Formats: sequence, C-alpha cells, structure tokens
Amino acid sequence: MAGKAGKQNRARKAAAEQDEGEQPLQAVLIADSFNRRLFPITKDQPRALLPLANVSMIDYTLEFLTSTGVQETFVFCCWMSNKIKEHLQKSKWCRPTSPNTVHIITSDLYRSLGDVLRDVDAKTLVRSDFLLVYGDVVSNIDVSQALQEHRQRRKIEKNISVMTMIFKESSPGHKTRCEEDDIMVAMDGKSKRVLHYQRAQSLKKLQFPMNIFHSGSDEFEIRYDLLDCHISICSPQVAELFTDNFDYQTRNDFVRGILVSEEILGNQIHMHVTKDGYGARVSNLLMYDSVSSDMIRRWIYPITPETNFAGHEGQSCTHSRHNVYREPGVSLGLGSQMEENVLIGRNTVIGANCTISNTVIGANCVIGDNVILDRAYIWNRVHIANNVKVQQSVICDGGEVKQGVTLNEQCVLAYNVVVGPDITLPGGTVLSMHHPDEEDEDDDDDEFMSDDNAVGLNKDKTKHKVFNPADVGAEGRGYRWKASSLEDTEEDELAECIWGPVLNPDPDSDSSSQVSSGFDGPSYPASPEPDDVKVFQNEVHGTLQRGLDENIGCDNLVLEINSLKYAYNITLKEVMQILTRVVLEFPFHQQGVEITTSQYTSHLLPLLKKWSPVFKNYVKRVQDHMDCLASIEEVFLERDTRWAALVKVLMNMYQLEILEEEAIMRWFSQAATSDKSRQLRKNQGLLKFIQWLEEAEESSEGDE
Amino acid sequence: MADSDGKQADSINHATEAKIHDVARSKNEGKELTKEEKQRLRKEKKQQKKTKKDEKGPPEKEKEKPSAPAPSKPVTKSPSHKVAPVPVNASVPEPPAAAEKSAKTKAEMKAERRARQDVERSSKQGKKEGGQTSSSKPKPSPSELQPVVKRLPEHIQVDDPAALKKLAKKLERQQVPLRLDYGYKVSLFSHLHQYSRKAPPTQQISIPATVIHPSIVRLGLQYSQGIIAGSNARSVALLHAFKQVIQDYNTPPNEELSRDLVNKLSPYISFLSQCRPLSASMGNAIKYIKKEISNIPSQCKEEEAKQKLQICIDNYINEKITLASQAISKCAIEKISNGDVILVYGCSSLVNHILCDAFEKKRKFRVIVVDSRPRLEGREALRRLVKKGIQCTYVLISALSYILPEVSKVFLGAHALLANGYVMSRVGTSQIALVAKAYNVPVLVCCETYKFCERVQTDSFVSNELDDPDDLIVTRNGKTHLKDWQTVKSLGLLNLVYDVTPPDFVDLVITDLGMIPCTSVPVAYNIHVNGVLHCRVRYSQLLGLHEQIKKEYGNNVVPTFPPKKIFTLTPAEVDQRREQLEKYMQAVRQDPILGSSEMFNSFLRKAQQETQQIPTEEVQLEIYLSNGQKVKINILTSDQTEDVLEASVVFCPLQRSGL
Amino acid sequence: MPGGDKETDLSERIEAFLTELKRCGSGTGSLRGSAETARETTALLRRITAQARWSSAGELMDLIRKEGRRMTAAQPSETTVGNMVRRVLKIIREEYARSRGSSEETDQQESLHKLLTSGGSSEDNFRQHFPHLKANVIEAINELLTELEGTTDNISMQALEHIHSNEVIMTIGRSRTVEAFLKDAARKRKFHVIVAECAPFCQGHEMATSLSKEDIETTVIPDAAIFAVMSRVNKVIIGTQTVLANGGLRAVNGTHTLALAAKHHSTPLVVCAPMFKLSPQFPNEEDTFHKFVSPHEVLPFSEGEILSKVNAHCPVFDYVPPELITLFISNIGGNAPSYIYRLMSELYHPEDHEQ
Repeated sequence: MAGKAGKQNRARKAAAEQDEGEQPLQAVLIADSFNRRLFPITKDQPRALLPLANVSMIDYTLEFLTSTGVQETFVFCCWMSNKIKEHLQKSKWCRPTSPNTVHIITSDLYRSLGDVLRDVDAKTLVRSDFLLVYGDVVSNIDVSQALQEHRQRRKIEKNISVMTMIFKESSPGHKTRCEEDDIMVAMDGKSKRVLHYQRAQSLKKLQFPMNIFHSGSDEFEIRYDLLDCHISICSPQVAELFTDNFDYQTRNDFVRGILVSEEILGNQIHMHVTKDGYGARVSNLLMYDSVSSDMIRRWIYPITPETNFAGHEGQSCTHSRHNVYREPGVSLGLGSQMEENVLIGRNTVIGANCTISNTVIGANCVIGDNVILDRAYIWNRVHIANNVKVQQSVICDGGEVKQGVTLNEQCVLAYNVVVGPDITLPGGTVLSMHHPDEEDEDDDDDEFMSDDNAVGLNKDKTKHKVFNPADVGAEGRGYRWKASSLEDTEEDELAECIWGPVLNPDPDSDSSSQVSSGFDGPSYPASPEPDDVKVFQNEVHGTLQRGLDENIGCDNLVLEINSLKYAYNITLKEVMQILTRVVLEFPFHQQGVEITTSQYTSHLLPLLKKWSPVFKNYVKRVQDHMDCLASIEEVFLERDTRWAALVKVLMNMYQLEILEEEAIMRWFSQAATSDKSRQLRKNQGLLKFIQWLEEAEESSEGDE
Repeated sequence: MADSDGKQADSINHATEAKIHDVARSKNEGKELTKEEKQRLRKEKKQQKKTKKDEKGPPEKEKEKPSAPAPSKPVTKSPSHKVAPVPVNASVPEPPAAAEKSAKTKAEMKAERRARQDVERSSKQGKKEGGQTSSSKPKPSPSELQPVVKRLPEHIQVDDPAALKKLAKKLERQQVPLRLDYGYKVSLFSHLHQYSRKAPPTQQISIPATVIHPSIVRLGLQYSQGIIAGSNARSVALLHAFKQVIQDYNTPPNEELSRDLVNKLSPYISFLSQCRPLSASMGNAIKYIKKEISNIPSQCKEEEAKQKLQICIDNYINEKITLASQAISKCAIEKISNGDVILVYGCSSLVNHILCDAFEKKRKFRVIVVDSRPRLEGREALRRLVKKGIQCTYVLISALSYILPEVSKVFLGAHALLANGYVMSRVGTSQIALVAKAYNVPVLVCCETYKFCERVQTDSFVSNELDDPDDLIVTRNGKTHLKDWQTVKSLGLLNLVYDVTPPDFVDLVITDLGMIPCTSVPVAYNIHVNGVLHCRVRYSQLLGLHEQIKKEYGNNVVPTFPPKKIFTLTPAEVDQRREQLEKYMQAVRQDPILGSSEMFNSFLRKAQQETQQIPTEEVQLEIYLSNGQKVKINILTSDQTEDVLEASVVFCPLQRSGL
Repeated sequence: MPGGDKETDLSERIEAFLTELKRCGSGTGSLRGSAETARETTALLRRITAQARWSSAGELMDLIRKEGRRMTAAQPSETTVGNMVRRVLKIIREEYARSRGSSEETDQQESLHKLLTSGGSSEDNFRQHFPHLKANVIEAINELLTELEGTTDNISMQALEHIHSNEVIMTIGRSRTVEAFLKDAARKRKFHVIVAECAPFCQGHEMATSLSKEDIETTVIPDAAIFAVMSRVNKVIIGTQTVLANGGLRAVNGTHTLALAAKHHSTPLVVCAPMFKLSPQFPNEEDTFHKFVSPHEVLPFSEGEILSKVNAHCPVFDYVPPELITLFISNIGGNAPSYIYRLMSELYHPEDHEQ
C-alpha cells in the first residue's frame, strides 16, 4: 500500500528507465573543493559543512541526490574528513531507513577530482552510470529525464557518450550565474552533443575550431545562456579515462581533453538543459549569497527552509508573508521589523528597533537594539551589540560584533572573531583567528593541494602574535587577511579572494555589479580558459617563484616545468619561449614595472645565473638557440626603454654558455622582421657586443 | 446666441430691423430648442429602456449620437466660422486646458461679444449671399458620418448573416480582404469575430497591387500580431501611419482633396478593423482626422493642405496623448503618498508613466504588479518599473486575494470610458476592482479624455473582442492538454480581451481634465440650439453658471436649479435631472435679463469652444458695409473684439461716432 | 525474530510514505488525489494497528498519534492525513468504549461534569487490555476504508438533484470529485461548463479536456475572465482541498475571487467535498495555511537580472470565508456551511483535535 506506492514512486523516478538489470542509481559526491577559496573560513570547518540557510550544504546535495532517485552514494572527503564523517553519521542519511545508502570514503591523498575518480576506478565502486556532484551543489533538478536520454544514447551507440552535463537556462547577468564558470558551449542542436566548450569569462572575443562546424550535423547551437549546475551523469568509463590520463585534474580538464581527442578516442560528451529545475554550486561567497537568497525566495522549492528535510529536531520553522521564516523560540524586540526574505534560527533573540532584510540568522544568536542587517549571513551563536550595521557580510559561528560597528560590503568574520567597538570595517575585510602567515607557508606546496595539513602545526604560532586594533578595534580579536589586499593581484593571491574578485582593482572585472566573478581555485587563474599558453606561463612563473623562494634545485624545476608542459600540452619550442619570457620579465613581477634598467639587470643577472641549468636543459639544438634569441628579442621589443639591458642579457647568457656566439651572430645577421627590430639591431650597445664577439672569434682563430 | 443681439445692435447700422428680425427669430427658436430637446429626451429614455432589454440596442442607437455633432458644425455659431465664408476653421483643435484657462476672463467676454457681431454680420451675409454659404454646408456631413456610424455595429454582428453580407460587400467594394473566423466560438460570443494569429489578414492581399497603403498594411499586421497593443500605442501608431499616407497622397485630377482623401481612407480603416477591431481611442482619432480633412477648403493648395493635416495630427498626438498623460500623472502623483503599496494590473503605459514620475518625485512606495495569462503583459511593466529601481512584487491574478491585504491603492488603466460610466479595460480589470472593493481598497482609474466613448454597455459580452484562442494553450512538465482542442467539438477556448468595470467599483477617475467620480464622466448634457448640437456640458459646469448668475442677479430672478446629489445617480435620477436642467436652461434663456447676459452667453461660448475645439488661427474677416461695399481684414480668431473693431474702423471712419 | 523484521518492514513503509508525501507536495499537480492519500493513510494506520506492538488502546493511540504527527509534518498542506489519523483515533476510542460496555455516544454528550472528569478518567481507562480490541479496531478501520472507496460515487449520485438542463456552470481548476459529479449529471442532462484554467498550474485544461470527452459543452477561460463571464453563469460548482471547522474553504487559489464574483451576481456557489476533507482546523494560523511553490511557476528563471530585485509569490491556496458559500455537497448529502461544526463533532473526538 503506502509503502509500495513509495517504492514504486522511487522506482519510477530512478530506475524505470534502467534497462541493464535492476541497477540502483549511484552517485559520487566529492565533499571537498580542493581549493582554498573559502579560507580562512574553511580552516575550521570543511566547506561541505558550512551552513546555508542554517543547513549544511552537504545535506542539500544529499537531499538532491536522494530525491532524484539515487540509491547509493559515495561521499569522498579529504579535508577535515572526520568532521564530515561525524556529521553524516548523525544525519538521517545514515539511518537504516534512508532510501539512499551513504558510504563515506576518506583519504588525505586526494588532491583533485581527478584523484578521486582514479580512486573510484581503482576500487571499482561504480557499476553503471553514476551522478557526479560536489558537496556544495544545491539543486532540485529531477535528472531522471537527462538520465534516460543518457542511457538511450549509450544504448544506441555503445559507450560513445561518456558524460552528460546538466545545465540550467538562465540569461546572462543573472545573479545566480557564477561568472567564474561562465561558459560558452557549441552543441549539436539535435543530438545535444557538446562540440566545443570554453570558459567565456572576461573574454572579449571567442574563437571556435573550424572542424566543429563541418562535423556531421547540420544544426548548431552556440549557447551563452547556460548556468553550469556542476551535476554530471557519467558512465563508468569516465573513471577509467581519468586513470588513463593522469593529468586530468578537474572536470574541465576532462571535458576539454575528451573534446580535443574526440577523433582519437571517439568519446563524446552530451549536455542536458533544464528549464524548470534549479541547480547551482556555491563556489565562492557571492554564490553563497545568491544561492541563499534564492533559497529564501523559494526558488529551490520543494527544498525550502520550512520543510526541514534534513529532519533535525526543533528546526522546523514557520513561513509567513514576505518570505519571513522563524524557527521556534525566536524573540523579536519592540519595533523591530523583518522586512522581507528573512530566516531566523531557533532561540535567537533580537533587540528593539532592528531592521532586517534579506538576511539569514543562525541559532542562539543575540542581536542588540537598533541593528540594521541587510544581506547579512549570520551563523550560530553570534553576538551583535547595539547600533551595528551589517551589509552583505558573513559572520561565522561564535563571532562577536561590539557596539556601533559597521561592516561594509563583503566583510567576512571567520570563527570566533571579535570586532569593535565603534569601528568601521572597509569593504572586503576578512578577519580570522588564524594568522595569515600560516597561510603563506602552505602556499608553497603544489597547486592541487587540498587544505588539510599545515594548519595544525602552526596553531601555536598564532598565540604570540598580537591583534592589530586598527584592524579589529580596541577589544577585537582576530587577524586581518590579505584576501582583499589590493597591492598585488597575482592569480594565486586572487584565488584567496573568497568573494570572487569583485574587489579586484583591475578594471576589466566589474566592481559595480553583484555578478560574481572569481576563479575556480588556484589551478585556474584569471586568464581566459582556452589559451593554455598563458596559463602555462603563469604556472611556470609560479614554479620559478617558488623555486626561488625555497631554492628548489634546478633539476626539480625542470621536472615540474616538464610536467606542466604535458598538462597543458605545450610544445618544446613554446616552453622555451615562455621560459625565456618569464625569466626576463621576472624582475618586473618582483620589483614592479617602473624599476630602472640598471636595477633590472642587477636583479636579472643573478637569476639567469641561478637558472642557467634550466635553460641549458631546454636550449640544446641550434634551432632552440634561435628561438630563445627570438623570444628574447620580442620581450625587449615590447619594452624599448630596456634595450640597454639587452646587451647585458645576451652577454650574460653567452658567458653562461646558454647561447653560443654563432647563434647570436646568426640571429643578428638575420633579416630584421620589423623596423622596430631593425632599430633594436642598431642599438649601440648591441653593435658593440656583436663587434666584440666577432673580434673574440677572430682572436680565437688567430690563436691557431 | 440671437438673444445677444439686443445689446449688440448699437455697434452697426441698420441695427433696428436686424434687431426685430433677430428677436423674432430668437423667439421661435426658443420653441424649436425646447421641442428638439424634448424629442431627443424621449428618444434617449426609450433608448435606455432598450439597453436594459437587449445588448444589441445601444450600439445601433448610438449611431445617432456621433452623427449629431456632425451636421452641426457648419450651422452652429462658431464665431470664426461665420467670419470666413468657407468652413475651414471650426477645425484645428485647441487644447481643452487652454479653453479652461480663459474661463470667464474679461477677454473671454470680449471675444464672445465679437462673436455676436459676427453673428450679426453673418446673418446679413446670409441674406446677401446665403446661397453660397448654405450650399457648401450640408455637403461635408455625409462623408464624415458613415464610417463613424457603420464601424461600431459591424464587428459585433457576426451572428447576423445580413450584416456579414453587407460587410463582405463593403470590403469587396473597397478591395479589402475579408478575414475568416477561426475555430469553434463560444456560443455566448458568436456575435464577435475570432481570428487566428496564424492567418494574418495580409495573406489574401496581393502585394504590391493593392489599394492599401504599405504603411497601413504594416500597421495592420502589427495590430493583428499584437506587436502593437494597448490603446495609446495603437492610436499613436495609427496617427503616424495616416501622416505617412497623407504625405504620399496626391489628389487625382478633377478631384477635391477634402472629398477624395476621406474616401481613400475608409478602405484603410476597414482593413485595419479587419486586422483588429478598432479601439474607442482610435475611433475618436479617426473621427478627428476625417473632420480635419473634410474641412480643408477646396481652393486650398494641396501641399499646404497636407502640411496643415500633418500639423493637425501632430497636435492631436501631442495634446491628447502626451500632454494628457503628463497632466494626469500630475494629479495622480498627489494620490500617491509615502509608504503606499500600489497594485497595478497588466501594462498600462499611462499607469507606468505615473509610477515612474512619482518615483522620480522621491515618493516612497512599493508596487505590486498583477498579471494574467495568456498575455502576461505585466512582465513588461515589471521590467520597466524595475529598471527604474522601483521595488516590485509580481503575482498572477489568481493570487489576488492573497496579495490584496497588503495593498493600499489600486491604479488601473482604461481602454475606454463608456458613456454610462462603465470602464472598459483589459480583461481582469473588473475582477481586480471587485476584489479590491471586497477588501475596501480604493480603486483609481487613469484615463485620457480622448478615450471617452459615446457607447453605453453594461456587460462584457455585447461589444468585446476575441483574441486567438490558441494563446491559452500551455505546456507544463511535458504535457499539453489543449493541444488538439480543435478536434474535440464540444471544447471551446475563450480568449476575451476586454471587460467592463461597473462604476460602483471605481472610486475615482483621473483624467487630464482633473479627477472626477466615475459616474459624472458620462453625464454630459447636449445643449441643442436651432435643433443642432451646440455644446456638451457637465452638471458641475451648469451649477457653476448657476452660482455665478445668483451672484450677479440675486436668487429671486434665477429659476430653481436641480439639487446637487452626493451619491451616484441611478439612470432614472439622471433622466429626471436632465429634464430639470432642460427646464432651467430654457427658463434662463427666455428670461430677458439672463438670456442676454454676458455670463450666460460667454458660458455657452466657452462650452462650445470646449466641445468643438475652436482653433486659434488666421482668418479673413469680411465686413459688409451698409453701402454694400465689402472690406476684408485678416484677423486671428483669438483676437479681441476691440482689435477687430480697431481693424475694421480704419475702413469706415464714419462709424467712430457709432462707437 | 519475526516481530523484528515486521517492525523494520513497517517503519520502512512509513518512511516511504513520508518521503512520498513530501514529494507529492510539489506544485498542486500532486500525483494523487486526496482521496487516494486518505486511503493510503488509513491503510497504513491499519497496518500499524496490526503489526506494531501494543497491549492496550492507550498505547495504540499514542503510537498512532506519534506516527500521525510525523505524517502531518511531512506535508502540512495535506490535511486529509491528519483527518484520517483523527478518524482512526476516534474509532479506537469507540471500540474501546464498546468493549468496556459503555458507549462512546454517552461520552460524546458534553456535560460540564463530563468535561470536569473526562480529562483524567478516560486516560487511565484506556490502559485496560482487551483481547478482541485489535480485531475490532481493524474491522472498524476496514469499514472506514470501504466508506472512503464509496465517497466519490456517493457525491456524484446527487448530481441530478443540483444540475438542471442547459444551465451554465462554472468551475475552477481540477477536482476529481467535481469531475465525477458533472460527468454523472451529463449522462442525463445537457449543460454548459465554463472552466477557469487556474494559472499557473492550469489544471483547468486537464479538467476541460476530460469533461469534453464526455461531450459536455466545455469552455476554458483564463482566470482574468471569471468576473466578465460570471453574469451568464447560473451555478458555480467547485471542489476544495480542505473544509475548515468554520465552514470556510481552503481551496486552490483564485477560488476566493470566483466566490466573490459569484456573490456579486448572487450566483449560488456549491462545494463538492467528501467528508474526509473536513478538518477541525481554523483559518487563523496563516503560516501552515498558505503554501507557496517556487516563483519559477509565475516568473521564469531565465528572466535574468531583474529577478534579484523582484519578489514573485506563487501561493497555492485561497481561503474562502463561509458566508460566500451556498451549499456543501458531501457523501452524506447536502449541508449549509453553518452545519459543518456539527459534522465535525460527529467525526472527530474533541480531544484529538490538536493531536
């Protein structure tokens, strides 16, 4: 009866379309972001457990999986795995009655989605098609239709289509569209096959490979109105493919890899665009902001605050006009008004004459009088004194805001931070009990590290550091993070900018709008996706930087650069050019662009000396020499004020035996491509140098 | 009018006999007037009874109404008209506002004294060369009547085969394609057209060998596809299209522009009404244009005539629509106070305009946009308001009773304001008014005066419009239930466009003439003189006159004035009041003092100017001196009498003594 | 042990039912009519009675109360669940009383003295153990089930008493009861039905198609046109989601407007509501009363940036005050709204009202 109906229903949702036996639908849930985006918050709590509308994000993900008919879920955790484990075991998901059996798999070795999937393959966990989601995806999409299509495809042409990505239609400029995975997709209108996939973020012009247009189909859609839900239906091959290509780290690697090598491997990727479902990933705090507000505005119905799907005791809240939600035990002071879209956790006490709008307040908070909260996200056990004003900020558990403090846009108070009294935090301030220096140390290890180690060991350091009252106020406790520090905007810094780089000073990112735009972790810097060269260059730069910082041996550097080279499949020639470029520009990065030529050279020469082995490793054949010189030339062509330095560089490289003289001669004699380069060749110093070389030659000949 | 002669005689020689004559005339005229009045009243009473009996009644009856003013123009004593022998000038409109301003000023009185002289003269002139004037008079009337008359019924007589045949013939004659009805029609509405969007009216037209001007064809398509919707947008588009037409028009040889152009327009109009039944506002616009055209003097050069028309149209758009909406928003903003929650329905350009103005005026208010399938025009309104930065909430009409408790005022646009005080507007409006009433929320209707309509209607059935039924079809989570509704013979889709809101749901109508309670809108009394419609006045205006008279002449002289009523009148009461007013007017007219009083006449004049929109323009004044000699002076119709006299005196010095 | 797996099996079924309830809440396009829900609930309760471990009526009642609370919490808008729980509780009381010899009827009489004593006395009484109680209760529940089976027919049987030939009837949205009602009438009489589509869910379309299949002359109108055409309608027949204790309705949204329009034209408004929709709930508590689904229903997500600045609401239910209602037609005949409270007291025991 009832029970049966329930079963049937689930069957209908999930397994009806399954034709290979009665395979229960499986899902792989990755409860780690593999980036430090939400540092310092995620230093104390893994991202998956951060509360969104007072419920941990992972609960939303699991609810989504369950309601869409998943019967077996593998949760992979890495960073703070024990906490996640604990949480899940308490939750209803691990009750025997739960229709969705959850297995928790933890390992500290995971560094990326790639690692996880390789592990999945190794353990052969998945038997048939499975869902792949992150632990911070909030969605109510019913994937059954997409699943059906997927299986259909796989039935028709055996195992050609390996993955179906799920997108949501949403016009550009939509608040919930995370610009950092703002994508441009070219798809085959009929078969829904993805032909081209590229990040459109901060791209002025887009180029599509010609071949996609004369491939079979006659109907193309190039779509920019898509919101990536980060939900994908994968066939078991996906795991295998990850194993085969060790350099796939993220899903984007994978997708692009498949698309590039489509002819060779013959694998295809398809997509499913849903109109009515909702799906978004909380990849940074702006997304956190907009997803929460969507939640409060009931866009994710039936997942709404008052349904209390997570089944926590006493968390069932009531919903009334203007989307005001109250959990039991909330007390509201005289004259306080909750204007609209407000969620208030249980046993929270709010003082008199407060104005609250578009705000989420956790449990057991105490809010004083005359407090103005707008788009504030206040977690549990937070104390806010009187006359406080908070705008679009996050205050984590146990935080305390004293008298008359004002938090401007996009402030973050991490766990147990105390601010005030009577201080105004500028927009984008990030305060944490952890000192940022802890952060610097672990900057050093490789890109794909997850956030686990490094915190514990320098807990002690924080003690004997003093709080700066200028940052946190007289009685404040906490360190100011450089997340929003505007002095340097290098990619890896920006990766920390947890709001997405709305605070990023450089003009191209629009600081006005609420549109989130940020980076998908350190592995993906600001540069537009498709031109790997630039990415690679940044990588190389990063590598060398680190190499310099903790003087890594050159051979290691070479090793790393090589691996990068493979990761971005860069030709040797390009490597050469880029390497040269990076090295030559290195001083500018270190000292800023406006250093004098003499400073420049004085910085550069030691570096050249230091890295000569690296160069030697790449500059072997004659052609290499020419390339190297060519790229040196173009670097200098860009900076015609620095020509004086050119000679020194050449001289140096010659002496370091990176470059051979005849190579230089040849390069010099070679017809100048542009008149600018002709001028360059006319450069006094250069002429002298060449002359000198010639003489040296003659003299050496003379010796015989 | 004639009654004025008493005072005026001194200004010109041969006064005496003229006087006698005029007095005589005035007397029997008085009788005429009353008789005329009476029979008109009887007719109207009958009519109203009819209205109750059947819906078909009114529209046919209504024919007469618009027709009434038409013949009047040549005959009525519009001053300038008499001055020049040709009926150019009763034409170019004068903003009602302007007319209002000049109320009761000294200038006003002068003006009207001058006018009386004109009468005097004209009467002479009539004696002298009456033939010419009189002959020219009746002609224009037919040409401008027909379309106005015919247009109304034909689109609500689809169930009457005879009418259909007639329509078909007419279209045939005009080479306008006849559109075929589409799909099963709900029995209640079998008298209305129901077209399919998929079958545009231009299908049968053979481009370019068509009699229809391309701009009109385009317009027609835009109408039928709903690209141009909303009463204002449609009228503006129409006027622009006509401008285009007139631009491209050139008179065929041995034809007269004023005649030919009108005839040329009528197929266009019937084409447009094939595309989509004309709105009241468009009806008025067309009426106006036709009047303009037919008033183009025959000897007027074509270029200049076209020029004139273009200007007329521009003025019309400017005054009737643009300025009107500004005037309305000026009043309406007064009604928006801080902290208001205002509910609007659909996308009324006027209401949007008001809200935006109010917002720029730093009023703090919230807007709730109510919308309804299938048009979902509200979304457009929503976009516009949000772009402005106004805080909005959006619900569908079914959620009305949930949202209404928050609302403090309801602002509604109107498609037309019917003569019986019913507001004709986008379907759903009446429903909102109803629920608002139930929750005691004030309902304000905003409507430009050019949307006032002579028709009366008590329900949404008689004269309405059916849109494409396929619009109702919707696909929800993969299922489309009404997909093949055509095949199911017993299933009908009804996509109504308008409904009428009874006046008792509406608390206030905001027009460009100010705010008026809904009921008093239509109760405008036609005052006929010489059996032709002289002017149209409202009770309030008459009351004002009465007050003045009392001030001047004291109560004893003045006949009793029908009492003022606080509450809205029942039809019966309206009738009663009309009779009383009639008696009152006659009494006043026949009273020797009052009848010839400045005040009374100036009142009549002002009313007339309002009703017929006497323009300010240069005319030629012909003065016939006693010696039969004729003098021509160029004057402005707005000139004061003194100016005219000054001008004229130059020619006849002997008259100084007379003055 | 057998008992154990019985237990687990039972709890599994309950869980399944709960999730099911939660899910079918999405939109008003719930997969099953409330009649089905009612039946399933009762069946589940019967299963509980049969399989759960309990020695005395008191324990059983507590058990059922507990489960009942969970069920109602799962889908607050589905009041039938709660109603069925109350019905079963009442049954248990009666059976217990009968086996105790005293008849529940006498308890029903609300005398001051009764009120004074009842609180304590009845409670400890239920502790008594009777061997046959279980069988009797299950028996009684089966009767209830059969009654539920019959409701729709019982209602539609009365159709001809209310619909005369060629009249114009308006209804809104889709109610299975009304559908049956009209179809039944259509077998004998010719009449015209106007269906308000009830946006955004447009169940009206479904209704219209299924009616027209029975070749009833049917017309679909948008909600905006309700008032416009009301003047030609001579009866309004609607279904409802819940009948409240005060005789008011909790019906699909738009019904209130419809009722007002009917009132304005003084058109009779007839409500077809089976008994199991009566619930001792009063319209005052707004929070549980209203139910909102995703604004996506009214304003598509693809609208883009303006969404962040706009609040779109999409309530599912309307409250219709009793004074707008002319007549209730339930499976036990027609009643005036003012009579509802009486039926209420017959169906449920006052102590179970809050449950």
